[in-house]
Amino acid sequence: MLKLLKGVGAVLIVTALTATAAYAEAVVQVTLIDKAGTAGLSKPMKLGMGMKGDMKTAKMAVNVNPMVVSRGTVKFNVTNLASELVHEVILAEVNDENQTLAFDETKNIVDEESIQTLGQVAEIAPSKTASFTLELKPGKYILYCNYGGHFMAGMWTVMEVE
Amino acid sequence: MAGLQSLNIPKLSRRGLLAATAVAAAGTAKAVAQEAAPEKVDIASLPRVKQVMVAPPFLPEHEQVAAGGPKIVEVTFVIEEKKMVIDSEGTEVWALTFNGSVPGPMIVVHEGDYVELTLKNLATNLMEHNIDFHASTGALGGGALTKVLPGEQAVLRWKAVKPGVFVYHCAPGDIMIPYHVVHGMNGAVMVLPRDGLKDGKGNPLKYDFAYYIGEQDYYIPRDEKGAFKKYETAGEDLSESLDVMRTLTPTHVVFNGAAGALTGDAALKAKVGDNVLFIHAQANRDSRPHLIGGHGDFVWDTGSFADVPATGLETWFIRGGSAGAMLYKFRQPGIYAYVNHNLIEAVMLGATAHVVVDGEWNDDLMMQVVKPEPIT
Repeated sequence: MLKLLKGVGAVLIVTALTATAAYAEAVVQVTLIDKAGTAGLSKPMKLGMGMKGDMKTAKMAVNVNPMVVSRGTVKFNVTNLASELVHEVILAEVNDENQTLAFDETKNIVDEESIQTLGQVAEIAPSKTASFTLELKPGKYILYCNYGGHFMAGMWTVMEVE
Repeated sequence: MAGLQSLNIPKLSRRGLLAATAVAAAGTAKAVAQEAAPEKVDIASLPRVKQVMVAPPFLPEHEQVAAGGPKIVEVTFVIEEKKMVIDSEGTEVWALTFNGSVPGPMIVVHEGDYVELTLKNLATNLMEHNIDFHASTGALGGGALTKVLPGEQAVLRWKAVKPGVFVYHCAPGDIMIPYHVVHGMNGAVMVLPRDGLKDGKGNPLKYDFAYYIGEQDYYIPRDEKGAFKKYETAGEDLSESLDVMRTLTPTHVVFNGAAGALTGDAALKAKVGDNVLFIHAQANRDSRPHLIGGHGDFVWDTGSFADVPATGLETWFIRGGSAGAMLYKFRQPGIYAYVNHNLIEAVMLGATAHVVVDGEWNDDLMMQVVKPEPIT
């Protein structure tokens, strides 16, 4: 199945969380953390990937569990733990966590043209859950929120597919 | 595809219940203070005391009859999201706690006193929290004025105008309200009448000591094999917990945070002749406390100390979202079981505490006339 999908990139299937898969697949819990609320994020906080910022100071984060899964079908269950803000999560392949991404300073967002989005949940309201399923080949993948300022506030993580 | 900052619509504007939160939150602290003080109480002139919180089932040091006039009682709650084991099989919950315990600590004041709470949300926590005191007046019980993100703190002062025992709980909004409550984020306040408890005929009722039983219903998700699931971080179980909560069928109903937390070595203790006040709080679900081998001598099952207590009860009723109190004088030694007398919940789900009572057996009250023997 993986071979069939090569070149296509990935297939995105958004499903209701309650649907249970009848076949073996890796399940990754993705939790969107937002300790900033409506506080201003207009100034880039230099906590993006590859910037070697002090992530302990991050007010926003993406947690994934587990951080390493096997190649093949991977289901991402995404929960937005924020109290006020809608967030999103975008998955893209990267070299490793030291890579820096092209960044649009004006909009305070990652230039999404610079890396290929493989899957995403475009909007998750606070306290809500959504999921998406991808076929993933071995490599490293970033999961990040690209609402203005959120990536630079630390709302990203890198996971591995073996 | 990314949205901009402008897409980050505050949730408050979209929810009916929370529209009220927004209105309440719009009131300044000053405006609220004026509203709560029509008698023009000079707050600055009131004496202040710090009340040191203790973990349940114990109560902080307090006087039963108030000495002097109203005072401001300063308390601090530190919110901590922590993993707890809730039964002997090692089942886990990422508990949301006030001061690290389920239930949260009890506050004890007298009618007319003020509670001044400093609410701290640890920076290492992942979620916003707040507190709704059923004993207080206004702003959704203070919930609208105490929303704190991780790393923040707020101070709320409220006047204890109703005597009784009352629940408090976290109520951050929408489905997070029941989610936080069934993850342990609740506790109780006792507001004593200034002249202490009475029997309804003007006679004072004194207790030698008091125990605080917080009853907690948990809804732990299971994996495809039926085993209780474990999670790496607080909040990770959100959607799966909601699925279990929707069934209205708890997987655990426990006292003091975990099955067996008040039995065995941790059993409550008393002596024959002790008058013991039991406060029972249930922030979410109905309960029916019963003391196996004893009674409720005086019972305020609605929790209001302004009402005459019922007497001589076998079982009493705690409405979900409230606390009640019961006074009992132990008359026999031995082990008593304090249970939720839905016995399925008591025995199979965990809602049992033990009271070990020392003293001399009273043959007049009970004696074994013939030991079990073959039927003649």
